[in-house]
Amino acid sequence: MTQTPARDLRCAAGHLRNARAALRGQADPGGEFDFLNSDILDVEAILLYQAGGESEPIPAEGRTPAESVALAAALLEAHVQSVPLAAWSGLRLIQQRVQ
Amino acid sequence: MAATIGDLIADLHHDSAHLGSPGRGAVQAQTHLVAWRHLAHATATVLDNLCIPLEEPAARVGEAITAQLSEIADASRGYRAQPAEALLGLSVRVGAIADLLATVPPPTTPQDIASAQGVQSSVLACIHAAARHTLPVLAGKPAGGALRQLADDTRVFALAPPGQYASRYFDLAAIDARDASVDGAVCAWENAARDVLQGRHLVTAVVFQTVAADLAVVTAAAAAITERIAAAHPDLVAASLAQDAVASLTTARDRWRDASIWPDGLRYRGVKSTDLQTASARMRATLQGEFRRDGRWMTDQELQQGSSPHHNLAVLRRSIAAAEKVGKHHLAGFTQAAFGQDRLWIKARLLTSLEQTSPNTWQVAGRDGFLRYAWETHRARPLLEITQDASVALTAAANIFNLTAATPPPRLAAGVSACPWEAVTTRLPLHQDAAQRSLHTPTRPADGWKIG
Repeated sequence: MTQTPARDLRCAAGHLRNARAALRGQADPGGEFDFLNSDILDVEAILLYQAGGESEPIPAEGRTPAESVALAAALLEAHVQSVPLAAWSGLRLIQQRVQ
Repeated sequence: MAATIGDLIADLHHDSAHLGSPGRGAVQAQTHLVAWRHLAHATATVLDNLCIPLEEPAARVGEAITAQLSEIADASRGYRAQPAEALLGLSVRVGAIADLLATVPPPTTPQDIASAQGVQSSVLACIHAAARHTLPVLAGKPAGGALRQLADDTRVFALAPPGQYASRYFDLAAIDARDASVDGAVCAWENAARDVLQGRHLVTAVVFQTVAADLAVVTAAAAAITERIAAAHPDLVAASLAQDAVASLTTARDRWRDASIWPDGLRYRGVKSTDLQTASARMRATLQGEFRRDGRWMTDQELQQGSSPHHNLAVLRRSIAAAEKVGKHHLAGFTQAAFGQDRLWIKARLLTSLEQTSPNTWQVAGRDGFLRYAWETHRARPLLEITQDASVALTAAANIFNLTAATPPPRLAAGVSACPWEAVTTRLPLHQDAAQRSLHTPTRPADGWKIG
């Protein structure tokens, strides 16, 4: 359900946090985790600066990183005008890397 | 690329080895005396900035030589002349070394003391060459005697080839944060992270996580690249040392990874600041460009297309040194958040009923469903412990990683004999680590130093 832009941005940040936590538990032979973790944090920071407050706690429910990132993107799609462009460009790159 | 102390010393040795004929006559004597005023001042500043503990023999050597330098400088007062160019060139480099050393805290560990001695010996070897160069000009002049004494007392440092002296301080560089290198990017990130973590109103929950994630990136890079370099260049880093360094860096990386993912429902608010995000992104991009390719760390062959293994290791040692400082700022900031101010909050609905009803645990503030942090039952407690572990692990890793600087790089390869320098042996007191000191400290005569 779509809510206020600020709350959805915080929820999107919560999904991104879940994506990072899920990535932490995965095998990482190429050493990609640390860079991806920081890149996702970048997007979280942009969203939270925009929305104010902290990311909403979202139950992870066993989602994969890709699923969590997709849910975050879906929430943001509902508020395109409220989402800074830097968050979009960061999110698109993250989506490609967590596939 | 920033000049390091090692680079400056290599240049210094090169120039000292190629000092031409000083010429003769009254004018030459004046130009040399005036140049020695600069060189003596710069050298004394190096010895002063090294801050070798007074109980060390090298400190007494330094004090005695400083007194001689002072005497030579005094003898040059009142002369007005263009300083001799060759000596002035040396004094500029020695002065640059002194400036770089000004940022170094006094050595306390045996490794740091040995490193300080390595720099002292390297510089004094050049001073010997400069004094020998000038002696013919000042024969019979008032400063001639002091210069003769200086040449005698510094001779012992010039008996070893430059490559014999090693020091972790050789990595120190004057780094410009605007420089488009890993050094520059890490320097800019260190400055930004320090400013934000020390700025009481700038630090936020995202800042803590971002810095922790960055620290994991830096330590991961150091571990991965050191592993590759050590495997391909056992002459540059001993296998056992590399193994220890990589293991400690990997431990630190894992701890900072843990600290980069906060539990749900914690809030720590501050003023929006984008400086850290910008510097962090730049540092990661630079590290990726320098050390990664196609989503993996580069192989040794790929790394060598950019820079030498020695250069890469030096860059990473500097990066880890910067990271260690940032790690300490992070821990101090988070400790302040946990114990000091009251801006750390927790989402009320995430509390267990026990936590909610526990007496004296929560001061209800009721803003946006968040409650003010209380230490006794708070779920941030493990996070503080993780941060403490991470900071300690990074300091330990930095100390072990620094030991990889003990192997001297090939310097002045042309014209320097590769044969062992058997004249330098140790006759040091038994309580000192002779194996280590023999590398840095010149022979101490059985009847003591002929100085003072």
